Amino acid sequence: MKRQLALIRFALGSAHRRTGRTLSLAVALALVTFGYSSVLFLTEALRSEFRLAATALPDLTVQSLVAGRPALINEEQLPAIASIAGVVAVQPRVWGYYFVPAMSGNFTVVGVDTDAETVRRDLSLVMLEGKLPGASGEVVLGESLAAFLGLEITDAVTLPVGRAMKRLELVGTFRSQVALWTSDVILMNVADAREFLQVPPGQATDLAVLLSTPDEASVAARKIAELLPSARIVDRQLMSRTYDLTFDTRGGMMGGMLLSALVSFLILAWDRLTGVGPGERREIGVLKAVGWRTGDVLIARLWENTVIAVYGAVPGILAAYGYVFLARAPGLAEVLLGWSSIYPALRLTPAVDPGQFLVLLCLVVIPFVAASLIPAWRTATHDPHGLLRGAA
Amino acid sequence: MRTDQHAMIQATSLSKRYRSGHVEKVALCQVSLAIPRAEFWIVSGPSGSGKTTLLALLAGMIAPTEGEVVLDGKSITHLRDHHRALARRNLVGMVFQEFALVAGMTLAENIFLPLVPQGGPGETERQRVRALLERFGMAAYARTQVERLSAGERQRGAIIRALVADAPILMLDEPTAALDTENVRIMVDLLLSLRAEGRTIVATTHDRRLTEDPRLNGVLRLVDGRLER
Amino acid sequence: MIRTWPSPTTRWHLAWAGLLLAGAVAMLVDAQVRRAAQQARQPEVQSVVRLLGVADLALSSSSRWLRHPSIAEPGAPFADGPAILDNDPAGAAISPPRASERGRHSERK
Repeated sequence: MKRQLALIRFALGSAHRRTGRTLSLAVALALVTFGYSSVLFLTEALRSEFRLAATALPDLTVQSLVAGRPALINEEQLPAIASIAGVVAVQPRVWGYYFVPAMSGNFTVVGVDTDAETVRRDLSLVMLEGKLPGASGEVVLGESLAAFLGLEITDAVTLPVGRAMKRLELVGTFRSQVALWTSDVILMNVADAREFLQVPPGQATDLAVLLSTPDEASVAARKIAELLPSARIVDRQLMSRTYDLTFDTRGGMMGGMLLSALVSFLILAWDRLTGVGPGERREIGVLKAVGWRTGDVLIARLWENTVIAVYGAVPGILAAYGYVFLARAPGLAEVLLGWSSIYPALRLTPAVDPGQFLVLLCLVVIPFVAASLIPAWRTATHDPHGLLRGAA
Repeated sequence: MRTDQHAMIQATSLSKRYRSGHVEKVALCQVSLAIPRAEFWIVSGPSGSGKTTLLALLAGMIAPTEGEVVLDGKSITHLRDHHRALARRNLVGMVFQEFALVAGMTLAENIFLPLVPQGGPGETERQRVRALLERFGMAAYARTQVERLSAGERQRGAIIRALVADAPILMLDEPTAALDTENVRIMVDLLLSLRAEGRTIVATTHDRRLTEDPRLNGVLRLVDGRLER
Repeated sequence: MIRTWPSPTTRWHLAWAGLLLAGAVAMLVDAQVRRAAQQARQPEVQSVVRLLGVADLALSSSSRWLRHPSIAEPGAPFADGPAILDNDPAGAAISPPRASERGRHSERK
C-alpha cells in the first residue's frame, strides 16, 4: 500500500513533468471518449424512451399479408380470434400514412373511437390545449406538425383525398412530453380516418390483440397463425427487439466510424506519445540503475497512464452528457437519426447510471493503458546500462 | 588469481562480449580483481578500454558473458533481474557519468528516487539525507530543480542519492569528467571522508588529477578490456 | 526542509481529480433527477401509446420502415423494386434531392 502510494506520487509527478505529452494525450482521449459517449448516450436515451412506452403496447399485432406485403385485414376474422383462449380483446385499428407532396413528407394518420371513455381519458391526459375531437373533420396534431403547417387551434386545412378534398379543423395539439411519439401524428375519429386513408368498411389496417397472460403470447400467436395462415403476427418482444436493432444499426455505423478514430488514436499513442522517446528511455534507465525493478517501472507507468486516461476520459464523458442532454446533440442527432421532414423536439432522458459510467470509463481507460504499457515494458526490460548510454 | 575472504568487491574471470550482427566485440576479457572493504580504488584507462563496462558489471547492471561478481560475500551474477535490482539497491550506490538525474524533478525528489518502490523515504532516510545535504553544502538546493544546478552540485547530489539506501559500496563512472580542478578537490575530499566511514569506493577515470592522487588505495589499468598489472 | 507532501503538484492533481469527481457525481445526480421526471410522465406516454397502438418514436418520417420499424413489413427495403433510390433515405443528415422525389411520383402513377 505504502509502495503503491509512493509509486502513484511518482506517477503524478511524471504526468506533471511531461505536461505536453500528458495534455495532448488527455485531450485526444477526451475527444474520442466524447464521440463514443455521445452516440451511446443518445441511443440509450432513445431506447429508454421506447422501453417506457413498450408496456402499453398491445400484446400481439396481427397484419394481413397479400403478395408478401402488408394489406388491409378483414374484420371477419375478429370473432374467431376473440374466441381463442387467453385473448381478452381484439381491436381493429385504422391508421396509415398520408403523403403530402408540398412538404415531401408523410403524416401518420391515426383513427380512434373518439366516443369511447378510455380514449377520451387518454386524450385528455396527452393533449396540451384545445378540446377533445369528436365531430367529423376535427383533428389533433403533433406540435411540430402543427407548427410546420402553420396551423393554430381552430384553423382549418383542406387536403386532397382521392379526387375529393377533405377539410380538417385543428382542435388541439399533443403535449410536448409525448412529442417523440406524436410529432407527425394527425389523430381523428375512425370514420374520418377511413375516409382519409380510403379504408373500406369491414376492413382495418391491423388488429390489436390483448391477452390475459402476456407471457403466453407465443401460444396465442401460434393459434392465430393456424386461423389466418397468411397473417403476420408481431408480438411485443419482437417490436422491442426490432427497435433496439434500428438504433444498433445507426449507432453501430457511428460507432464503427469512431472505432477507426479510436484505433488510429491508439496507433498514434503507441507510436509517438507513449512510444518511449530518448528522454523517457533515459529516465527508465535511471530508475532501473538506482534499483527499480522492471515491475516497479511498469507500475509507475501504469499509474501515470491511468491517471492521464481518467483525466481525459471523464471530461469527455461529462462533455458528451452536456452535449446530448443539455444542448440536445446538435449535429449528431441529425446524423444518427437521419433526415426527416419533421423533427420532433428531442427531450431526452439520460439512461446513465454509475455502472454505465464505469463501463464507459473502462472501455477507454483499459485499452489505452494496455496499449501504452507495452512499449514501456519493452524498454524497461533492457538493462539500465544500455538505456543510460542511449544504446540497446 | 588472488583470493581474499574479506574483499568487498570480488570479480573472477569477468568477460563481456557484445554481438552486433555476426561481429562479436570483446569489451572485457578475463578480468579478476578483489577490492577490500573501506578502500578507494580507481579503474583507469583510455576511452573504449572497457572501464564503464567493468563498472556496470561490478554494480550488477549488466550480466557478464563469463565469470562471476561477488559483493560482500554474495554472488550477484546468477541472480534474476528482480533480485539483481534488489542487490543493486542494497549494496551498491552508483554515480553515473552524466549523473543520471531526472530533469524536472527537484534534487530531493531525485535523491529519494531509489526508495520509491519501497514506499518512499522513512524518517531514518530523511535524517540521513538531511545530514548528507548539510555535509556536502547542498542544504539550500533540496527543493531546486536539478537542471538549475551546476555540474559540481549535480554530482554531489548524485553522490547523496547513491548513499540514500546506506549502501556499503559506492561506484562512480568518470566522476571528474565535467568538473574543474576546484570541484575535483572538493569531490575527492568528500569521497575520502566517505572511505573513512568504512565505505568501499570504485571510480573509473582517465583523469590524471585523480589517478595520481597519493591517498588512493590503488589504481587498476584497463587496456583493450584487459587488466594491466 | 525535505518533506514535500503534499507538494504543489500533488495538490494540483487532487484539485483536478476532485473537480472530475464532482462533475461525475453532478452528472449522475442530474441523470437520476431526469430519470425520475421521465418516470413521472410515464402515464402520458402510455396513454399516447394506447391511442396510437404503436410505440415507435417519430424520429424519421421518410419511409414506413423507418417511421414504424417495429411493425414494418418483412423485406420492406425490397418492396419498391430494384430501382429504389435509397433504402434508408433517413440515413443521411440532409434530405434527398428533389429530383428523386419526382422520380418516385412518376413511378407511383
